[in-house]
Amino acid sequence: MLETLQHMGNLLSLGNFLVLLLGSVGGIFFGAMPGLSPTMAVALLVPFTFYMDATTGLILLGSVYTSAVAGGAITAVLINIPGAPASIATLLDGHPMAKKGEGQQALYIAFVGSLIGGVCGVLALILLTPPLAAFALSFGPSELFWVSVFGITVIAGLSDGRLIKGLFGGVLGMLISCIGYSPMLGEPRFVFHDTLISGIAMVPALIGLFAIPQVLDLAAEVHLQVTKNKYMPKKGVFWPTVRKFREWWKTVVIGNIVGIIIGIIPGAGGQVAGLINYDQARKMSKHPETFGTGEPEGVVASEVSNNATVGAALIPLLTLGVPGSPTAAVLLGGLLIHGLFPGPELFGKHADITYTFIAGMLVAQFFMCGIGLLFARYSHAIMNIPNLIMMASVVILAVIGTYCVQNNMDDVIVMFALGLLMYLGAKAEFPSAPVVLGVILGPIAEESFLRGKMIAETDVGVFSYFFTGGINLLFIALSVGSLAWGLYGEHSRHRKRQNAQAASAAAA
Amino acid sequence: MKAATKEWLCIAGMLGIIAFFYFQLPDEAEAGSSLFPGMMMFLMLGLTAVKAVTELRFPKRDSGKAKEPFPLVRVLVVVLAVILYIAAIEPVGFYLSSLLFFFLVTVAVQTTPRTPRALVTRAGLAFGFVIFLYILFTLLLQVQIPKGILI
Repeated sequence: MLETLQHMGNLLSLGNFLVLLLGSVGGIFFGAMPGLSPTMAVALLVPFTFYMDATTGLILLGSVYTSAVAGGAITAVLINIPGAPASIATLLDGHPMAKKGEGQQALYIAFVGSLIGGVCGVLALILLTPPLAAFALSFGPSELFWVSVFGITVIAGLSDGRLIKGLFGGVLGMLISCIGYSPMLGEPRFVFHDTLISGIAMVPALIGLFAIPQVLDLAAEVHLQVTKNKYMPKKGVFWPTVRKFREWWKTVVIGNIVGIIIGIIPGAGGQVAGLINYDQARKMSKHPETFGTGEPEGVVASEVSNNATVGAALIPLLTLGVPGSPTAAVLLGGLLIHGLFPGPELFGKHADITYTFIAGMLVAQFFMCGIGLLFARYSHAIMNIPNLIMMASVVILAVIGTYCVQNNMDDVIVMFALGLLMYLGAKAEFPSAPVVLGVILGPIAEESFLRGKMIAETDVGVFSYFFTGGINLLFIALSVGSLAWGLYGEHSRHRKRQNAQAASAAAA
Repeated sequence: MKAATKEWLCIAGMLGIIAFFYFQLPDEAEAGSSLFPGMMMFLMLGLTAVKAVTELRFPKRDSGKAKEPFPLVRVLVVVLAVILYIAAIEPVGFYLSSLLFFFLVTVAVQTTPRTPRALVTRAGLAFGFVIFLYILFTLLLQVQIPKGILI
């Protein structure tokens, strides 16, 4: 902690200040653009940092990373498309709030929540690096497998009244992630076309499954213009919104804990943290039925948690070289091109760079919040853009966003094909979020399962390996609990519907 | 379409997806590489069965509300336009094809009258958007973009 504070002074140079400012503006801009993920933003900037000194380059990457994760809330709230994967849970209540004319509050909540989560994540990075890195190290294949299963059960449980379809979608997403070569044996599977030989990458899947159904919905609703003039910024909204955070302290505290733990676990990422905390907030709420209909606490839950993962994801990265998220993996590239290797050396020989970078991450949270709040006031212009223009722009951005990742048109074709299938699925009331999470978690689940099975067969047996041990049992219990809660919710909704029908029949 | 019929079609679709993946799994695949997909298909089959049982026990009822007719033609026009746009990117180039796509698709599906003023505004917007993309991707980020006939 002291070391970080001591290096705070290094940020006072004009160069570092400008980099923080530009990184925050650019990050929010990238985050707000559907199809331009934080990972892509950081990946595109890594080559530019080669021309800067290591400290400035890392500050730029760190500020873009943190702002892009928060900036994803803008499109999630205003146009129902997560600008970044971490904002998946934000749209569940953020967009309904915007539809009700509360978009300004939703955005203020998102950025203030992101600030709280971001600062706590960086504080965790400063304070908890040694013990939590050791905890994450204890996650073997079986624990990672159960974390993936838990992720799917959580998101399926969020599919209101569509638990089975949500679960089916999650499992289908995992099956889709199997397309291409087997991670362990190298055998091709489900290669229907040469385009699929290298499997389905995360970015085309994410953009296709979210953006294309949205585009086609916009096309169907061209004449409606439901979004027009619903969000006009007003004065005197900020402080009342900030004061409400006192009511949501439980969600904030749990969100930070969830975000930090999930951030440290490699591969899970902000989207999982946001969804888990959203689910927890809904379960703990006195009025869970308001979640999904524009409940501000839902936005708090998602944003606090997903930004808390940013700093936390750097804990295993800086100490062990194990990235906690895909963006942290790209950041690792930023470290390596400057000749910085993760491990004790970073905190010894290169302590000056490392602690200045961590201090920069802390200050970047405040830049992100300030610029985000300013951006939020004027982002209402997005709402007034006609659906037609939005539709054409999103298609073009989705295409270029997908193409840029690997400079490959095949990815664009896969993106559109998945989007088209998801659109048909959405018409049959299949939610898209579980499919996306299945695609993201599928490779982790499969590799962990096969690795675990191999270990188990030479050791204690498959059943004992996967179904014993504290962390395994904890995640199994959480998965079963999540499903049971979802079933209970469906059952009580069904009974309420039946009672309402009986009451209206009696009244008639 | 009735809600219950839609749900049964949905169950048939779920079975169709499982069958599609099942028949694509190579016979000679090693047990390890087909184990995880097999488990997923088995789970999906179980979930389909649960869905069918639920539908038998608690059939979904129509809400009774009148629905607006679905604008199928407009959606199909957009789907076709996106397919043509993706096909045109490499031969025509990203910026030129994006300009044409933006202008043509927005004009084709608009429901308000196509006045000369509206067309000029739309062309201006398309041009402005493409310039923004050029500044962002080519000048600032120096991303490799398909140039097509502009090479």
